[in-house]
Amino acid sequence: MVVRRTLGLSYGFHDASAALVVDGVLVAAAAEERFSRQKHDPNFPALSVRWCLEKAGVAASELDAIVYHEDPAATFTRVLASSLAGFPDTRREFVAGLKVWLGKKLWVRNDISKRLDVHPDLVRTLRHHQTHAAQAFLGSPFSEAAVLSVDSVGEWETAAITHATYEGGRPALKPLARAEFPDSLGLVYSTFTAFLGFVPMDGECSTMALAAFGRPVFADEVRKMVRLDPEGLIRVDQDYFNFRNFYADPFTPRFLAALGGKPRSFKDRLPFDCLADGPSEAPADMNFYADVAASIQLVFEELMVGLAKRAHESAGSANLCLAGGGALNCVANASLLKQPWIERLYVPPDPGDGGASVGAALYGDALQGGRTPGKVGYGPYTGAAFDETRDAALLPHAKPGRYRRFAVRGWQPRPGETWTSERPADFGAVIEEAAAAIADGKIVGWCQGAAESGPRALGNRSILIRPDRLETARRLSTQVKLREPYRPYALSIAEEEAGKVLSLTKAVQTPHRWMQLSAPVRPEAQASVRAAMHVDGTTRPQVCSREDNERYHSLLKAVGRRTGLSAVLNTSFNESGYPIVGTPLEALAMYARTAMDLLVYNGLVVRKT
Amino acid sequence: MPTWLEALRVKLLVRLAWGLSKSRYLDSLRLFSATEADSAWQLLYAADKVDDPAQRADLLGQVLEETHHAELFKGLYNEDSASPLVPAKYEREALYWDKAEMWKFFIYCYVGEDAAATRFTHIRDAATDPRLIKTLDSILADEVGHVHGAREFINELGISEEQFQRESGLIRWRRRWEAWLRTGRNVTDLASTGFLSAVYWVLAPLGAGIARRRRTASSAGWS
Repeated sequence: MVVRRTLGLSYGFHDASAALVVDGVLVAAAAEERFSRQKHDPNFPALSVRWCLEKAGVAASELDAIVYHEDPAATFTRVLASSLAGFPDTRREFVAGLKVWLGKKLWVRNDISKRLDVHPDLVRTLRHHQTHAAQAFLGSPFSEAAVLSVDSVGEWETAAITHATYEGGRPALKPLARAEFPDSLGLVYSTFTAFLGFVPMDGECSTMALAAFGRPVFADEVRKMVRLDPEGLIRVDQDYFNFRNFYADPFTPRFLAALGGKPRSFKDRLPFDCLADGPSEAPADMNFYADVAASIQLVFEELMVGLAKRAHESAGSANLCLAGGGALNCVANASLLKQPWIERLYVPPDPGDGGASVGAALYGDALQGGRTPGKVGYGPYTGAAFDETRDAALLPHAKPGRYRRFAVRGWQPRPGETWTSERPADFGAVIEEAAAAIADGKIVGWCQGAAESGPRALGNRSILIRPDRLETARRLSTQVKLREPYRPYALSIAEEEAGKVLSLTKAVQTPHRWMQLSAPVRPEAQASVRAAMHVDGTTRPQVCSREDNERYHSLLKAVGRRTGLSAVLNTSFNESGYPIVGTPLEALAMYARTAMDLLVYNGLVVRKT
Repeated sequence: MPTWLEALRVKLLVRLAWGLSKSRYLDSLRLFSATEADSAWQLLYAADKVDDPAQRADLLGQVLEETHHAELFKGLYNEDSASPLVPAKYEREALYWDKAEMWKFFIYCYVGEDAAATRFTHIRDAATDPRLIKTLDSILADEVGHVHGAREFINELGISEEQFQRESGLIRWRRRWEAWLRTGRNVTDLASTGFLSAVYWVLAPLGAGIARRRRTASSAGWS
């Protein structure tokens, strides 16, 4: 029997990643940022490739195919055309674009071939939105589905609708409709993100969070800027936007006039607090920004529903798969699931470009051979796992007193603080210790097994506290995460008790398990999860079953035995601006700098005394 | 480069280039922050290759220091900039991949930290902004500590003086060669900017019409 080995690669824009499929099974997938410690690292994913190959015990020379996530020649035509069309005001964009593309990006095939020392013919390319469609569908439990992908821009496409099926056991992705640059819903949302003082392509989650504090009073203005189009899916009025020079100056005077305000400086503090009782008292100029956020969020949701309806009608399917950066908007995803014509929704663990390598690897592999529906699916725990034994040995030599100087602003360790560590005999004891600390109001860093792919920490690289303790949540925000108070935390809850807390109109779906949907909290349960709830009464849940993550589920149950609810507030194990930690040493570095009380790394328990 | 010449070069950079162009100053801070973050990453990687728990614990402390330095430069950047610092992202490449070569890594640290301390001293002496001076004073104290720390590591590894001198000499040449390549890249970059600008003014008018018909970002209003 011939074994196929296919490597998927995504890099060059943001969130570079690599994924390896061996004989139809996804054996490894990770974003480069988890190894390079650079958030959204766009560079060639040399470290993740190295790890993928090592994990599978495969040499680069043994690969049957290497599949890149986009067609660089097609992207180059868009970059070139975009800079030429703005003549004579686009010299800078033309020069910068050509330097990058002619100097490097256009020669992806040779670049990969040289770096991995393989023949260039092994390197194939897919269209970017085809990759997204594959990433969404091939991981899903569906045998056929409508697929909607929405992001800023691929080659030319900014959104696409695909009908995905299996024909003769092989996946068939049939494109039905697409939007092209500059008609980009993703870039419109990112432009508003920049207007609100956040970093575009990074701070979109902040826009979504801020929206809950505002009223959508500018929705009609936003609807003038972007609308659904019967022909091209999405139309954007270019009088409002400057996508050609997006990073330097994305909005036009007409955009500013339509909103009647100036862009927020990132130094202006947003006085909104999702842990506060009652409405936040904010000055009018800050309420303005919340209202702008609420307006773009509302219109974004409307347009996503419209696009999904088009996908549903044109594909004739009640199953919907979502991918692209747009699928990271959990509030919009929840709006989609409310629609009666969607029966089942699926969003892959990392729907953005970080997961594009998975789509490239799976589809590239599938094109070489057959696939059986339902057997390709993969979960979120595809990243690297590390042994903690060596790091346990360094703990007696650690000098917490020396690390005091590097503590995050807002926290100072107690004088004379030391670390103690232990390795309980079995993991059950580790779980009981962590659960006791959580129940006691402590902040617990919790790392176990393989890291999650994608931006959500799902119980393998998480920081956990009791979900009903507002004071602990504030300490978490100011002394550990350095997180803005308007950004809500997420909730992990054991599946058996999800119904007590969440008000779900449809059965629990995969996106509920991976924090990809916001969900209303039942009024009677709000006090019990208040710290993990947004001001609008919703939370972003991870409904966890024993099958999803046995150890984490056991922890939730152990917490439940002490507090009466098998749930924790769960936030990713990283400081603001840094990727989620991977190795024990990285976890220890954050533990040293922050007010985290207890650190659990596999079987190792470290505490500050 | 002789020390006095390097000091003069840095003084010109600080007083003239940074004085005349705020964006140049901010670019430098961004670069410093990225360099410190890269050092932290190199130390993390090295720690993974070191077996002695005491040395690993020491490296953890250095990782925290370098991370702290990156944060200090980021803080200065954010104070003076209209937009938040988006870190420069280098393609990470370990200085030495193999465990057997880690002794060379510590010599590289010694040479690199020494060079950084010299450079930061020159900048500190030329700087007039008290915030920058304060930051550099704090960082310099650590960098000097790193130089001593690296030397201790090298001694603990049992590296002879002869080996140390030979390897540090090679590393200094390697760093000079890298600096030369960087200069070459900058010159090429400048030349290509000139060439492509000329191409733009000559050929872009011809291509603009076709590009506009392809509905690009220049199209105004609904199309």
